[in-house]
Amino acid sequence: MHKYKSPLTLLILLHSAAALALPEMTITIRDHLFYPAEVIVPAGKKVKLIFINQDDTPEEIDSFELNREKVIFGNAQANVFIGPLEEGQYTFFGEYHPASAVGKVIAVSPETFDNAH
Amino acid sequence: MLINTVVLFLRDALPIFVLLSLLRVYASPKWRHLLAGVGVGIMLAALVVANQHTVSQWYQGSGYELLKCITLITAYMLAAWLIIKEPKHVYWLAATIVAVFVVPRSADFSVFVVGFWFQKDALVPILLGTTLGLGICVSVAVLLDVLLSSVTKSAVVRTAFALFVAGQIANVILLLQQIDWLADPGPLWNMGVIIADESEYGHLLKVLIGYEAAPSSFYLLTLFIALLLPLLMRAIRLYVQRNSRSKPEYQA
Repeated sequence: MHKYKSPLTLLILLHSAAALALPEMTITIRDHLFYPAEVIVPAGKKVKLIFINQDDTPEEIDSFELNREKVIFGNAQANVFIGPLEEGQYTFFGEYHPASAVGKVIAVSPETFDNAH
Repeated sequence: MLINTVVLFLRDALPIFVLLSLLRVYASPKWRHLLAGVGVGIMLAALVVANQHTVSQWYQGSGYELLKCITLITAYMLAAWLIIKEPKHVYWLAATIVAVFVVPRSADFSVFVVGFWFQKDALVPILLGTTLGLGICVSVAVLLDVLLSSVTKSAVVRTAFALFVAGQIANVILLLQQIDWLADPGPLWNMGVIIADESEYGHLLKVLIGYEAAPSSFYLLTLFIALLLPLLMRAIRLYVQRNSRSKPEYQA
């Protein structure tokens, strides 16, 4: 049994290391608006979006283009993993406030992303 | 807020009403069994909503998605069992499927209602929107019930039921990709120009057959396996049963 511990630990460590290496973008929800409303991410890479909801009410992040749907409770934060994406624009919105809470993920080439950051 | 409530109610409640119609035609349970299932499901969802912050923080913020995955997988396994065996005297099995299926759906809508209930001027649109949504859901359910009841071949109803549950379980793939428990290989194609996910047809097809305009290979594979597996297992069971019956009986 002991000999199986090492590969398993290695697997967990590799997964954790891969997760740590992911580009992270933080988006704040305030007064039912996204800050920033446009997020630039590298194409071809998995990205971790961290949503921080500063409102008292919950918000549900929804994106048909990214195939993601996640409830962010009031005064809480949550993560959504997206990608790897092709270069282009992907809209997302707050399902509870679709008129105001609108945002966009812009996937650019890694070179353009590195230059921008 | 009114339109928003209708849209959210339809998104969360329409699959429940479609399931009720399909179960009623396929397994012929009594309404009291199905309604008991809905009641239990709503009570369990209330428990989830009451502990929403705790649940959502499980497994580094993946708790809510994992809970949805567990309920979807459980509901699928019970529904698959219903497809494999003869759908006779399965009232409580049908009720259990409904109860498990209702939990994530009603929890999602409850989060919205609870979150905005005490907001100024929100109560009337929420109640009105829920009533309108309820009316649309009942209409669709009755229409589906009448349509399926008129079908004489039970295989058609069984396939429709299998397709519905397969479409629901395929959502597990999207949930696991969202929390990074599963890689996202990207879409195989994009049919968004023909039927967009956000269109009315897209929503309806999503509920009925798990339609995705841009599905990944994982999603499609799960959908097809989940559809074919119970139908295949049923065919094998019937084949074995028929063969064992047709064997000549030797008497001593």
